[in-house]
Amino acid sequence: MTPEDLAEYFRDKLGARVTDTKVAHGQLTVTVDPEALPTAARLCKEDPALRFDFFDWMSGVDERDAGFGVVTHLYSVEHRHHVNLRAVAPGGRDQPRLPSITGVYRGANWHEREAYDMFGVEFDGHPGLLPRILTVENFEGFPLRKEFHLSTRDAKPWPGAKEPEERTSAEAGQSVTTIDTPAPVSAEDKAAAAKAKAERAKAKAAAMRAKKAGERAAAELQPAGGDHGARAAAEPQPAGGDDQASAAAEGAAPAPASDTATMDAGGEGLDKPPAPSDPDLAGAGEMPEAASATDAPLQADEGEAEETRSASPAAAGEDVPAGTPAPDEPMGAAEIADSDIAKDAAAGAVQGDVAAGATGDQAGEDEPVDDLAAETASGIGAPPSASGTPGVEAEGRHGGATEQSGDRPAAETPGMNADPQGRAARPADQTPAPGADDGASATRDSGQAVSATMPDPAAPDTTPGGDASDRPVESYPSPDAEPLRAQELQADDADPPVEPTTPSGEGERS
Amino acid sequence: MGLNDQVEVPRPVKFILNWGRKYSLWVFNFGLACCAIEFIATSAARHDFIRLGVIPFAHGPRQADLLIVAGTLTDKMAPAIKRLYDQMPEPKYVISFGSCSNCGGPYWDSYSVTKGVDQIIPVDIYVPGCPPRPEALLEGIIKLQEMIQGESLKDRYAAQAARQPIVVGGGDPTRHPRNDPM
Repeated sequence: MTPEDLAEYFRDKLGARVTDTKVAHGQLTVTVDPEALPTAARLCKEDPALRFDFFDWMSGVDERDAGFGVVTHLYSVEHRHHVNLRAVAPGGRDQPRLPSITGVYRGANWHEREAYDMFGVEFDGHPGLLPRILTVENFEGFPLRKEFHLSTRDAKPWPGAKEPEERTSAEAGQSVTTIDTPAPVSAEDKAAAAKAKAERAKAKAAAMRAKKAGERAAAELQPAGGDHGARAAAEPQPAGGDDQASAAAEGAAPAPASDTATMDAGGEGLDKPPAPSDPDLAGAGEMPEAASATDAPLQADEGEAEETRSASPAAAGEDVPAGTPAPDEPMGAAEIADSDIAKDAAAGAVQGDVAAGATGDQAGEDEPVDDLAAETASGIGAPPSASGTPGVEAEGRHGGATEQSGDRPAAETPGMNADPQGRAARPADQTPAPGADDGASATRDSGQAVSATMPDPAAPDTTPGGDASDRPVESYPSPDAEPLRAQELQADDADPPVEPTTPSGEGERS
Repeated sequence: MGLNDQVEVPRPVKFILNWGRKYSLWVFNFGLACCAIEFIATSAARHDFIRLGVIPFAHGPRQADLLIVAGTLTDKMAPAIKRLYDQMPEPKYVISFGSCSNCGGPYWDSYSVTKGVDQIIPVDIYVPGCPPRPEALLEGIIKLQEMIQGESLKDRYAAQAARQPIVVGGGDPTRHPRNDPM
């Protein structure tokens, strides 16, 4: 039978109970009176001329004002024809109810449960619509109803095209009725979200600062006052920042890191574990990163070897002159301070914070933290650093202010978060010769400190142009990265936009 | 366990212990969507994570050290993953594989998707991607092994004990919907 013939046949058999028939795309849709749905289904199944023996599927339809419809798709294997049995549930949108056809087609059981789950259509005579089959048992509402509210979109509006129910009736070209559209998120909401984000960044920064403060306190216990002290206090960070991979690879490179560890940790056990508190600060991406320092020796066979190898030349070769980059700080520093300030402001990070707590090199340590926060907030966050190929990063380091500011997080972040973990991890693995390591590093470190501090006084005046070129050690990321921060902080302190303040700040520091 | 969770073992012992642990990770694959295919690819010949000491398809959670959640976690499935995670013996690790299990991924605004498996169970390693390449999982595993090598079991147990269980939808985490429908 053709669909048209079928329609005729249904009308004959069911009479007035067929309220509508429609043929579209070669398929017949028969709308029946809801009360007559089981009767119609039984007719479909048992009438020899119809013999719809295959219950294909059932779907709910949100008919808006008319309530909810249910369409049952039937197929006859014998006659090879289709019909869609449609019934619109009485009860409107509040209490749609339909008789169940599970008595005719047992397979309708779960389909009706699904229709109930998604649209809230109740089926009389169904063996049990609960517990809900698709959603969580205590789910509230019926998610496929047009008015269902996706609460997530309050926080973040749908970034793509509007959905039908969100269009105006003119756009949709049909009568959109009582659907309460989730109000498109307004500018205020966005502002609020941004604020919240900044708030979070701030909290994170505060936590980090607290942590740093502890380390600093430990560092200051070191006898060396003046230059050494200042330098040493500043040093550890970049040392750690020099990416753990490289640090671990070369016997020398770890030195600064482990040095820091001894200095900072003071009384704390060296193998203080990756502290449970860390994850808060570290967040997801950083955990692996922090862990990378853990087993230099064993790593070799794990494919990280290449990484370490490539990193090591930078660490080893540049080690001695590493101290020298100090003078070049002032150059990029001032510029960066500028750009950074701008960035901070843009990211909504709180400058006041930094300015308040910052003095001298203490500030130097504080600042980057906040800075980091700002950067994470503005999306240039830690993650890139995780992959840490120090050599590469270092290359671009002197490229220019913008590049530097882009780079910095890479150099910084490892320093901040890898540091503690590295400290925790190293001793555990390298049990054999931690002492020797430390000693060596200590000397190297102090050497660095001296050479670094020497040029400093002169440095303030050195202008951007000169130093980048005459620095042989361009690729050593850390020492250069840290002082930048110190500088820019001081710039912040005094008067953000004015560059000249930096020299004086630098002078004090050294 | 033994004394492991009460005293810090001497460093050389810890080194050996962790070294042993990190190269025999029996993994319980919680494949929930397409990411599971990538997981399978990682376990198969080309990438073959058995060479890293990761042994796939543990017989059940009780035999597993590592849970890899790969795919879209729905609220409906969440209690199941919590139950199975709870059945794993300590020390246990979790890798969240793919955007969906990290944060809900493309289903960030869905009514039914859990926005990150870390809302249910603690996650050690997140592997981003949609889906991530097998190499990404390999790197995640290596990072995990580095973490294991460096960690102190005592502290890990302490941290685990301090955690508060999160229950989806509230109530008793051991409740089963069949016996005790809401």
